[in-house]
Amino acid sequence: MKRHILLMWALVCTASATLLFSCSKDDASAPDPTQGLHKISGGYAPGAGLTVDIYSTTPNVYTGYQRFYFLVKDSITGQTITEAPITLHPMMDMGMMQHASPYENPLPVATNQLFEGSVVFIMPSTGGTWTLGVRVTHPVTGAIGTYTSTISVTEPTESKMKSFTSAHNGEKYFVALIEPAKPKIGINDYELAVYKRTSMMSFPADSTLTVMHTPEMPTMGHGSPNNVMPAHVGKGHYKGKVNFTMSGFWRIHMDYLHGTEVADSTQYFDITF
Amino acid sequence: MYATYTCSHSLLMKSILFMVAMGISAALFAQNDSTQKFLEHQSVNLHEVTLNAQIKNQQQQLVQFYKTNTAATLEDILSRLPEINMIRRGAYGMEPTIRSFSSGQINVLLDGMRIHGACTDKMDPATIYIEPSNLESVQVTTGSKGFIHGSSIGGTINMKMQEPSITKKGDVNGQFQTGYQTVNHALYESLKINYSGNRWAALATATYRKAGNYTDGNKQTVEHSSFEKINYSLSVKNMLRPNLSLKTDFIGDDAFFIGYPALPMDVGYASARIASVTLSKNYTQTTSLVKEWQVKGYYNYIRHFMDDTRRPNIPMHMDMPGNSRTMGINLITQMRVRKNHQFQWIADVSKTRLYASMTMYPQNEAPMYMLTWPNNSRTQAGLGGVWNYTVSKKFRLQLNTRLDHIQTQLTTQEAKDHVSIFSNSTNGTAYTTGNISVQGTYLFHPAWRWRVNAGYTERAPTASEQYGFYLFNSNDGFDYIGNPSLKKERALNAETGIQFNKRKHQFSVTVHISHIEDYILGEMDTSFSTMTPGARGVKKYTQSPTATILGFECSSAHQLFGNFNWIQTLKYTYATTSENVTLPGIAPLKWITSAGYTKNSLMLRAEMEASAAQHRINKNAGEDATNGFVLLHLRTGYQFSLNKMKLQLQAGVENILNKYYHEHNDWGNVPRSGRNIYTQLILHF
Repeated sequence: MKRHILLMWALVCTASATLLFSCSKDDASAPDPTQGLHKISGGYAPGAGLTVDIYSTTPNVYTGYQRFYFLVKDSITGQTITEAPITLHPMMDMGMMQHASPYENPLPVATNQLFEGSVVFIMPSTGGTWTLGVRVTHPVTGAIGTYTSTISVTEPTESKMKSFTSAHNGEKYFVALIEPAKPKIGINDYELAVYKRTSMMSFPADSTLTVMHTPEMPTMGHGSPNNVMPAHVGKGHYKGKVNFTMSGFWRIHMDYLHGTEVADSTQYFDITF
Repeated sequence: MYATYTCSHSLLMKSILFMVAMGISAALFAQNDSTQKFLEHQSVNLHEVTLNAQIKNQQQQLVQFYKTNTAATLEDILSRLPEINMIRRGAYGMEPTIRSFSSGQINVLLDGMRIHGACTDKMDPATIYIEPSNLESVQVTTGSKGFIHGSSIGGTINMKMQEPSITKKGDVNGQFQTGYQTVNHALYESLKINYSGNRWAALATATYRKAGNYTDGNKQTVEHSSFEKINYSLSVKNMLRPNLSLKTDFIGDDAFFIGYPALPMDVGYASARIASVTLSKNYTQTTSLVKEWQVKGYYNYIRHFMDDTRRPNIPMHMDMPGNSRTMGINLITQMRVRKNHQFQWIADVSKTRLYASMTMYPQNEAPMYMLTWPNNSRTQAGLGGVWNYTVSKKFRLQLNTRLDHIQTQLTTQEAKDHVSIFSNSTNGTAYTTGNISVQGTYLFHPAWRWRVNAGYTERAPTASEQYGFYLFNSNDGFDYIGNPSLKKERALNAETGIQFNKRKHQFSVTVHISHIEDYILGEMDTSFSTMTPGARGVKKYTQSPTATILGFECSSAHQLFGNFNWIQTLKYTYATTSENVTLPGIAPLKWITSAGYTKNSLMLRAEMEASAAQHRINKNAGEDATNGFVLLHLRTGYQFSLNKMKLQLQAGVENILNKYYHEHNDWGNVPRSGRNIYTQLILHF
C-alpha cells in the first residue's frame, strides 16, 4: 500500500514537472549584406573607376522616405570598397522644370560592406522622371565620378509623404513617415522626417516645429492610449510611439506648431494593417 | 506579494518540493486503520432515488423539494440554494455566485477538475456544460472552508459526476424523460442507460433541449432568448481488483445557439469536451492508515463563438471566438489515525491556456482584429490538507489549509504586444497563495449543534483581471482593461451557525462576515478611449483597499401530520467598500417557502418566492434599483407502475400570477418568464 501511495505521488510529481517545464529560447541569425535586399539598379561611375549597385528593402521604390544601400566596388579589381565619400543627387525632370528633393548622404564608412543613405521622393514618377546621382570618390586614387540611375517611383496605396504651406510663415514643408514600417497591434515606433523647401534645389531638414500626433480609428470613433509625442532627435527626424489597440484602418492626425503658433493641423497619415 | 518570472524553473522546483513533502507525510502515516467519510459538505443530491446518507442537513431536503421539476437545469437547482445567487445574462448560462462572491473569487469544479469558460464575457460558466443527468450531487462549500480544492476567497461549487453502478451481469436500467413547457415552447428529452457487466459497468446519458423565445409577465416576447443544445456523456467503470477501480469519463456538450437578450451578441456555437481517467482504491482493513486514495488525470477543451448574425440593425458584423484548454492531475488521499483523527490530503497541478479574439468587418475596409484574451497560460500547483479531530463526543475541531503556487504567462509575442500598451509587465507573474481556517463544532444538546469557523483566504487575480483587453461589460457599459500588476485579493472570513435537527423538524441559521483586502474591481480611467461602440468609458482593474460582505442564511424543514411537509429558506447579503460604496451585484433579501402534500401516488405542492426590493446599488457599475416581487408556483405529480416500469407524470404552473419581474442580478433588467405551464413524463426501466 505504501508503494501505491508513493507511486501516485511520483506520478503527480512527474505530471507537474511536465506541465511546468517550459522555457523559451531566442533565435539569433547572422546578417548577410545583400540578403533580403532588392537590387534597384547598378552601373559604372564614369571617371571614378568604381561600380555602384543600389539596393532597397522593397522591390519597388515608393513616394516618401526611401532608404538605399549602396554596394561600391573597384571596377578593375572587383574589390568591395568600404570607405569612400558619397553624396546623393536626386532630381525630378518634369520637362518644363526640374526640382530636387530631400536626401541624407551615407556615412563615408560602410556598415557591413554597404553604405546606407536615403532619399525622400516628394512625388511619384507619373509627373516626370526621377534620377538619382551617386557621386563617389575612389578612396585610393581620389578619382571622382557619378553613377546616375533612373528611379521609378510609385505612389503607395496609403501615402507616407505629406506637405503643407505653413500658416505661420507661408513656407512649404514636407513630412515623410518613416515608422511604423510594419505596423502591429501594440506599441509601435513612430518616426517622421520634416524638411523645408528653401528653393527648388534645396530641401534642408527642419527641426523648428513641434510635432504632435493623435491616432484614431475613424470607423470606430476611438483612439488609443499611452502614445508618446514625437520629439526631435536630429536631422529633422522626430521619434515617438504610436499604439494600435487593434488591426484595421487607423488615421494619425498631425499637428505642427511653431512655438505657440499653429503651423498646420490639416494633415494626417492613414495606416491600414 | 507577487513577483515576475521569465522562466518557470523556480515554480517547478517549488512544486516538486510540495509534492515531495506531501509524499513523505503520506508515507509516514501509511500504517494505520479505519473507514468513514469526514468532510461534511453542504451537498445537494440530484439522484432521484438514492439519498446520500452522509448528508443530514436541510440542503438535502431543499433540493428534493425543488427537484420536482425534473427538467430543471443545473442552474435552476443551484439558484434555489441559500448560499447561491445567479447572475443572469440570458435564458441560459447563468453565472453562480456564492454569497455574492463571483467568478474569480470562487471555484466551480467538476469532480475536482478545473474547467475554465472560453467566453471573455462570462457567458459560459462551467455549469453550462453539465446537465443534472450527468451529476450525482453538487457540493457547495463557503468562504473559509471552500478552498481545499483550489485557493479561493468565496468558496467552491464542486459538481460530483454520477458513476455507473455495477450490479450483476446483463443488468440494464435507465430512465427516459420528455417534457414540454409553454412559456418558451421548450422541448426537453433525456435518456440515461446503465449497463452492468460482471466487474464493470457503463453509464450513458444524452439530453436535448430546444427552447424558443420566452414570454414575459406583460405577454411580450423577449427576443433573442431562445436556445438549443445537446449534452452527452459516457462513463465506464472497471473493477481491476475488489477495491481498485478505474473510471473513464467523457462529457460532450454542444450548443448550437444560445440567445443572450442582455448582451449585444448571442452564442452561435459553443462546445465542451471533458475527459478524465480516475483510478481509486479503498482500504477496508481496519489496520490501514490510508482509507482511500484517488488519482485523476483530466483534459478539457472549450470552444465558444459569439455571434451577432441574428441581431437586427447591426452596423458591423463581429466575430468573437475564444477557447480554453485545461489539463491537470489530482491526487486525494484519506487517512485516519487512531479513532479520532482524520486527514485528507489533496495535491493538484493544472495548466489552463486561454485565447479569445474579436474581428469586426466594416464595409469596404480592412477587417479590424484584436485579441481580447491575449494568449495566456496559468499553471497552478497546490496542496491542501484537512485535519478533523474529534476531541470528545460533543466537540469536534477541523483545520483546513491550502498552499498554491500560480504562475501566469503571455504565450505569444502578439499577446505581449497587446498587453504592452497598458503595462510594462508582460513577462508573466507569479503568486503564492496561502489559505487556512479552523472550525469548531459543539453539540450542546442532542438536537442542537453550534458551529464557528474563521479563516484567512487568498486568491490570485483571474486572466481577465490581469490580461483582459477591452472586455465589454454590457451591464455597466464599460470596456475593461486588465492589469498584470494586481496583487492577491485577501480575505478574513468568519461564520457561525446553529443547527437544530430532530426527526421531523430541522432548522438552521448561519451568519457570515468577510473582510476583503485589495478587493479587485474596475475603476474608470478617463484617459482611455472606448473601443466598443456606445460604451460609456473604459475601466481598468485596480484594487480597493478593503471591502466587507456580511449576511445570513436560514432554512427550516418540517414534517407535519405525516403527509404534509413545509420547507423554507431566507437569505440576505450586505456589502460595502471601505469608502462606503456599495459593492455591485448584491442580491436583496429573498424568501422561498414551499408546502407539499403527498398521498399514495399523488403529490401536490405550492411554492412562494418573495424577493425584497434592492435600493443599495452601485451606480458606477451600471446598477439601478430593483423592485420586490412575489411569485407563486404550483406543482403536481402522479406515479404508477406499468409492466415492471415506473411512470411518473408531472405538471405544474410557474409564476401563476404572471408577474412581470426581474431579479437584481439580471443584466439589462431583462424581464423573466411570465406564467409557464409544464408537463413531463418520466419512465424508469
